[in-house]
Amino acid sequence: MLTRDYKDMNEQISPSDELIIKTKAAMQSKLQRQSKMTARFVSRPLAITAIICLCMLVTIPVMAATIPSFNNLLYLVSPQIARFLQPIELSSQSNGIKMDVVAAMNDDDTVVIYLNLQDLTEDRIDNTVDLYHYSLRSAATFTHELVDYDEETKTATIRMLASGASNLNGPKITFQLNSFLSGKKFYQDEKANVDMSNIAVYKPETIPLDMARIPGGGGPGFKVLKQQDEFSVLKPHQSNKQFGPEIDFVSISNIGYVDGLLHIQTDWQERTNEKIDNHGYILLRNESGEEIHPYANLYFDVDENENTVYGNRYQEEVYKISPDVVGNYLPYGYLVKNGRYVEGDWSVTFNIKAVSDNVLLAEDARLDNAKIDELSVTPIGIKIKGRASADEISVEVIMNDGMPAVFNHVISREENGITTIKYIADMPIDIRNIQEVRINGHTVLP
Amino acid sequence: MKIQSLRTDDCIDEVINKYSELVYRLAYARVNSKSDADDIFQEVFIRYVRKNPEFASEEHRKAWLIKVTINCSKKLWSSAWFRKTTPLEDGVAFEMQETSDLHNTMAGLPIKYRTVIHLFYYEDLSIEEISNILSIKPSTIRTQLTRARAMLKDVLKGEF
Repeated sequence: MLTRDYKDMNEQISPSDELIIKTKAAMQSKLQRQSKMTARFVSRPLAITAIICLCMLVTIPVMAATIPSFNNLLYLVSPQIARFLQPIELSSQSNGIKMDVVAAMNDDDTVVIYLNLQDLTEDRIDNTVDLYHYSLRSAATFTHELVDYDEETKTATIRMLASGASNLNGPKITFQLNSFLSGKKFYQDEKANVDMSNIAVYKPETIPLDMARIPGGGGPGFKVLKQQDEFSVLKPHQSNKQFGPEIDFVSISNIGYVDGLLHIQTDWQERTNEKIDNHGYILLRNESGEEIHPYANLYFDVDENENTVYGNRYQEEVYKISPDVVGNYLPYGYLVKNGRYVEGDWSVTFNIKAVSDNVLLAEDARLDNAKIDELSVTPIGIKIKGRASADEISVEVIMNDGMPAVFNHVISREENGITTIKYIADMPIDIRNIQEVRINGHTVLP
Repeated sequence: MKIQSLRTDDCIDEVINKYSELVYRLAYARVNSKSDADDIFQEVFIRYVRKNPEFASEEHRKAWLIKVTINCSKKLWSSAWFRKTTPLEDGVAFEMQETSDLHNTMAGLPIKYRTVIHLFYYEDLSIEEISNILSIKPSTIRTQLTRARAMLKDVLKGEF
C-alpha cells in the first residue's frame, strides 16, 4: 500500500515547464558554444590573421586606450574583487578631463563602479579628488573613495558605491558626473583658542531653529533632536574664536550650555558659495587624552534679522558633557579646506548583470528594539530591511575559516518608515562559506 | 553498442522529455526543496551536454543520470551554506493530507535511506542495480532498506 502511496506522491512532484524550457535553452547554448569552440580551433590560423588585420586597421588606438585601464585596475584590487568585476571600458571627455568607467559589479540595489579621472590639459586632479555633483539612475544614496592616485599619469582611480535603486540588475545604467573637488588641505588636531573655564556659568543667547527647515545633521543623537519641532541654537557672532594661524575658513562663533547640553557653533562663511565644501568637526579632549565626540550636529543659516533660515553656513555641535568637568576639556578641530571646484559634463551609459541574486537569510525577526523584515546577502554585502536605524544595528558575519567579514561602508535610507541598511563588504562575500551571522550579538544564522 | 551522443536539438528534447521526471523526483527526494531540486536539475543536464557521454545502452544512460543527480545533490548537501541554512518553505503542496504526511515522514529519514527507498520503490531498480550506481555493497543496500522500512513502519503503521 505504501509503495503505491509513495508512487502517487512522486507523481505530484514534477519540474515546472519554465524550468524545462530554461534548461533546454541552457543546454542548446552550451552545445552551440562547444560547437563554436571546435570551429575556432579548426580555423585558428585564418582567424588569427583576420584579427591581426582588424587590429592594425581599426582598433589599435582603442586597445591602447582602454584595455590597460582594466588590467591596471586588476593590479589595484584584490583577486577576490577582480573575480566579480565586469569590464566596462567606456570613456567620456569634457573640460580637458577624461573619465573612464573601467569596471563595475552590482546586485539588485547596489552598484560598485571603478572609474578613472585623468586631466589631459592641466593639473586639476590630485590625491584629494572628491566627486561632488554626480548621479546614477534612480540610486538614492552614494559614497565613494579614492583607491589609487598615479602621480606619473595624474590619474585618480575612484571606487563609487550607489545604493537604493530598484532593479539595478540588467537595465542600462547611466553614471553622470558634473563636478568634483580637489586640492584639499587637511588640518587635524587644531586646538581652538577658547577659555573653557567659564563655559559652565556662561549664559549664551539662543535663537529658535525650525527643525523641519534644516538641510540635515548627523551624530547618534540627531534623530532624537530631529523629533522636536523647534530646537534652541546659539545666537551667532557672539564670539570669534580662531583655531590656528592657517585656519582662515572657519571660526567658533559661539559656545555655551543650552538645556543641559554643551553647544559649540562654528561659522563656515565660504560655504554660502555652493562650490565650496569646507567641512570638519570638533571634539573635546582633556589632558588625560579622554575624548568626547559630538552627540549631534546640525546646519543652518541666519537672515539679516538673525532669524534662522535654511542653509549650512553655521554648524552647531552638541555634546553630552557635565558642566562640572567641561573646564578640563579643550576643543580640537578636524578640518578640511576645499581647494578647486571643477565642472564638466561626463556621462557614461553601460549595462551589467548582477554578481548573483539576493539570498534571503532571515525574515520577520525581532532583535532588541529592532524589527527586521528581511535580512539578505549578496557578494557585495548584507542588506537589512526593517524598522531600525543603522545606529541600533551591529552586524557580524563569520566565515568558515573563522575570520569575520569586514564591512567598510554602511549605506542607509528610510522610506515610509522602513529603513534599508546596506553593509558593503571590504571583499566580496563568498555566500557559501558563511558560517554564522550575528545581529546585535544574536545569532540569526545558522 | 554505441547509442547516441548528444549532438542535435532533437536529442536534447528527447533526453530531457524522457528523463526530466526521473532526475527531478530523485533530486527532490534527496533535498526536499523545489529551488534546490531546480538547481540540481539544471546542473545535471548541463553536465550531460558538457561531458557528452557515450552510452552502451539506454539503461546505462539512465544509470548515468541517476548517479550524476546524486552527485550534484551531494555537492549541494555537503556545502557549508546548505548545512548551515534553514531551508525556506518551498516544498511541493500535496493535494491529500495523507500524501503530505507521507512526504513529511520520508523527509525525516536520513538522506541515504531516502535515496535507496526512492530507487527501489519508485524507480523499481534491483538491489544489484542500486549497488552498482551508488558503488555500495548489495548487503549494505539491503540493510539500509530494512532499516528505512522499519523506521517508516514505526511512524506510518503500514508496510511497503
